[in-house]
Amino acid sequence: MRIKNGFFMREVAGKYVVVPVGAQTNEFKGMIQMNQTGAFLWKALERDLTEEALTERMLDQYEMTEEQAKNDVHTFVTRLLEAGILEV
Amino acid sequence: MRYQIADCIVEYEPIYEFLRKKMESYRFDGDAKTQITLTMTEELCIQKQAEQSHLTLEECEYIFVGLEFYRKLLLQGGMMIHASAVEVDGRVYLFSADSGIGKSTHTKQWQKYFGTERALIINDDKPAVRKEADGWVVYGTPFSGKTDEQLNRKGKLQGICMLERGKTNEIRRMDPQEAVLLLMRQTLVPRRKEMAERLLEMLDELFKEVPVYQMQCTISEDAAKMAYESMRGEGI
Repeated sequence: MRIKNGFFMREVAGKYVVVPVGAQTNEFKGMIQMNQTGAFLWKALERDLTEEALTERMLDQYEMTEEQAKNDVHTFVTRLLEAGILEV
Repeated sequence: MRYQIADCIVEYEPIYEFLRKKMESYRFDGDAKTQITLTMTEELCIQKQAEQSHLTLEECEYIFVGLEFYRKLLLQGGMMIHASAVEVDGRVYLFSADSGIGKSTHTKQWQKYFGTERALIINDDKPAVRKEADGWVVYGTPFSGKTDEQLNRKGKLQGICMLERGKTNEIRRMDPQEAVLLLMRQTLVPRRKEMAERLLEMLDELFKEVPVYQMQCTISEDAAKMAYESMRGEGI
């Protein structure tokens, strides 16, 4: 899965903000704000990755247990899927 | 015709009286190079009006020229914020909120409290904000919504206040992180990526340097006094 085209992320005042651009503005209204970890996962998902591969990246980057990483990745991915931001 | 709006030389021939009048006090006769060319035509106004029949032709010109100016201003380093801007002693206080909350009603209370000589409404709907060599400034623009409350003036940006209606008067400084989405709702995020990038870049800098507040207030001079005293405190 990967982030659909037409989203743009930038740090604003210490948090990360994602906005839709181009044709995506017709589909997705509003903005998303995320923390550092969210931004890390977002950047990783700009390339096609499975949930398992994403969990591995998270474990490489952060000091955490495999279970924590799995949970965090699953929550993140589910939210993006629900918002229609990921293509599978 | 050339105009100077938010320190940008703008070229445009207004089509209808409504916008022509609003732009009149921004006329520019110098030789500086044009930075923004606005491209609205009568045909386009007619087309827009056909799509949005609740608007008049004059309103279509006003709205779509405003949007074009807004996008092009981003590339010149400025942005417009949906707010009422009141100037007192050379400092400008921005009050931002969704339509209907009472931005204009609040800044009117400033005029009651300070008098209309000392409290000037620079713009009641979409003032321009940009960073200059000596800090953030606010400019009046012709885009003042339904009212004619707009002045071709510039003042130092003292602070931005996110306004809410309340039964009592309370104001607090906001953490930039919680203010980001609130304020972004009061700016238009352009569709074009390079412009969206410029906006987010500018907002990032703005939040680092300009205090943002959240206020709940009644319609009263007391609310104006409280806002002024809390916001004036910083930076003077």
